[in-house]
Amino acid sequence: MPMPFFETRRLNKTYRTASASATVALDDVTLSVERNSLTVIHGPSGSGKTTLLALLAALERPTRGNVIFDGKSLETCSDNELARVRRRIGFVYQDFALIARLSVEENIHYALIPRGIPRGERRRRTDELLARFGLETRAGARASELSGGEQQRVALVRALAGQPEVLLADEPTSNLDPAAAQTALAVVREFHTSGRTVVVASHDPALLTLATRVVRLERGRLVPEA
Amino acid sequence: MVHLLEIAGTGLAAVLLHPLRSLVCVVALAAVLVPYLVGMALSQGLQAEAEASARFGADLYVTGGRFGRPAPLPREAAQQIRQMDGVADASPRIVGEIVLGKDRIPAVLVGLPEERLTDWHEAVDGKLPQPGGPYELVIGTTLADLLHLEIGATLPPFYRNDRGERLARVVGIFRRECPPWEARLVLTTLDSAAEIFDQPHAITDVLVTCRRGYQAAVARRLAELPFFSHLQQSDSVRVRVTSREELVAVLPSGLLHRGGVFQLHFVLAFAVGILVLFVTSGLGLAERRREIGILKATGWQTDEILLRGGVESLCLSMAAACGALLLAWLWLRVGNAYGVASYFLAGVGTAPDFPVPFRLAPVPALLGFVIALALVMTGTLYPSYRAATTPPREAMR
Repeated sequence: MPMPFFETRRLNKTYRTASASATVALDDVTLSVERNSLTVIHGPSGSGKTTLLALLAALERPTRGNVIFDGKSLETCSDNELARVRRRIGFVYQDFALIARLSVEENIHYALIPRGIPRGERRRRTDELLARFGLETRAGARASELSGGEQQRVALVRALAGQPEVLLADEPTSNLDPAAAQTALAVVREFHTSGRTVVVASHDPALLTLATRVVRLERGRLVPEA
Repeated sequence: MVHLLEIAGTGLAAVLLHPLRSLVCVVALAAVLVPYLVGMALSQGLQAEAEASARFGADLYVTGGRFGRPAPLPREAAQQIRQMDGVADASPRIVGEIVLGKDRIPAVLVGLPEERLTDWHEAVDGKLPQPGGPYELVIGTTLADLLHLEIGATLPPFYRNDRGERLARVVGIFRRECPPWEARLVLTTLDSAAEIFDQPHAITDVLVTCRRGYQAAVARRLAELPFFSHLQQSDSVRVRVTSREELVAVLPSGLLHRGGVFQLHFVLAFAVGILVLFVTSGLGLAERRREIGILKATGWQTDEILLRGGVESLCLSMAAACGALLLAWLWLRVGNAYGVASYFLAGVGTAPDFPVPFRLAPVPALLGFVIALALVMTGTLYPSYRAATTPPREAMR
């Protein structure tokens, strides 16, 4: 049996607020994501989808439980090892996570610099992907000057430009007009059909149709699909 | 290596990415560094000037002392010394403090024999004092300005003398480019000075010029001169001989003391500066924290974040140090050490009316840069490190 790309074991994430009350975002989540699969996580708002993606991408540490990435437990990874794990992942954030003062081009290049991608190659990949998403004229614009839809497309370009092994995307089509959403879906499909792994948190029915597996989260717990 | 250079390049870009923060940081640093650089430049400039004055002065300075305090010598002392083997010249001198005008402005009066006054010819506008008639004085620029005196002006008697007083007339004014010591100086003939101080038979010191190779021997034999042995027995005045080299050796400690006091003030400013920089580095901290969170989330390592922050700090400190150096130079050259010269020169007002000597030496400038770097690093790297070691999602919130 092939080794899963991601595996979570009894994952729990609890946030403590200033009033000392605890919010359980994830509760005992055990999940396997197979290599080359396209997994869609869906569920109502506040069900823990974003938290689950963040834990898979090593963006934070779980309160309890463990994430295993490509056979390696993230629990025991050093800070630098976690950074190297993140370089293998392309992440599309729900709030885009762009550096507002940097240009579109710089936002993408900054994600490629630590991966050691030479300047010329960075430029080639950026130009190609920006053209694909219809953003070639916005390369020099500051991220803060873009519309929500444009920012979401830039976030997708940044995630894909690093040619990651896995794409994690949090509501990647939520701010896009139908045409842009079609492009995004096509790109995600291409990414998947090229033999790579995709995990998406989304309510988009179009994405659900692409999924090889659908996972439902409710109140931080995995629930079996009806 | 290319990868590291590219990360360093993002540090340079970070300076421009947050222009307000960078500007405030550079201004705060310059505000801390400029007084330090100005103080050190003045201290070293004055030291160099004093050393030059001592080097071009006499070979030996003979003074009297009683109970550790200066005491006058008899006028004949110069004559006695002049007769010694190896002595080329021995010139008596009177140096004392006076006050002038209704505001009682302090000044230093120096009396020299007429033949020695000619040495001052090139430093004086007007003419040199001559004996007879009213006392003829050459005064410093500060005194001339404070007392509104010009060449030819007459001063009413400013001293008490049982044998009567005489008017004094300004016959010359020291040029502005003269060393600062001359700004409050009053130069006159030895006889005039003796009468002004009402000490007709006394002098304060003797300036001895020796023949080549005789200086050490003359210094040794001076103390054993029967004239001085007799003086010690009769008036309890001990003679003290100071060579030019001893004078030069003593000078730095005196001036560096001033520098030390200034440095103490600077240490206080430094302590305040760190607090200021902590506050200024807090400008846009939330934005920077989010920025670092995003970089970490896209695969940056903590050491790469710190390299970026280090290069940013280096650029800010270089800008601050260069700016501070330029401002210090402007303060000294154009502003003529306005407001700060009085820390180093007694009796000088807020705006000195003579060119204040200064030397912007490389070591304090380099030290200024190091201090700037340390301050910015403290204010930048620690918050960066904190943000970089926080889980990215938390830093991005």
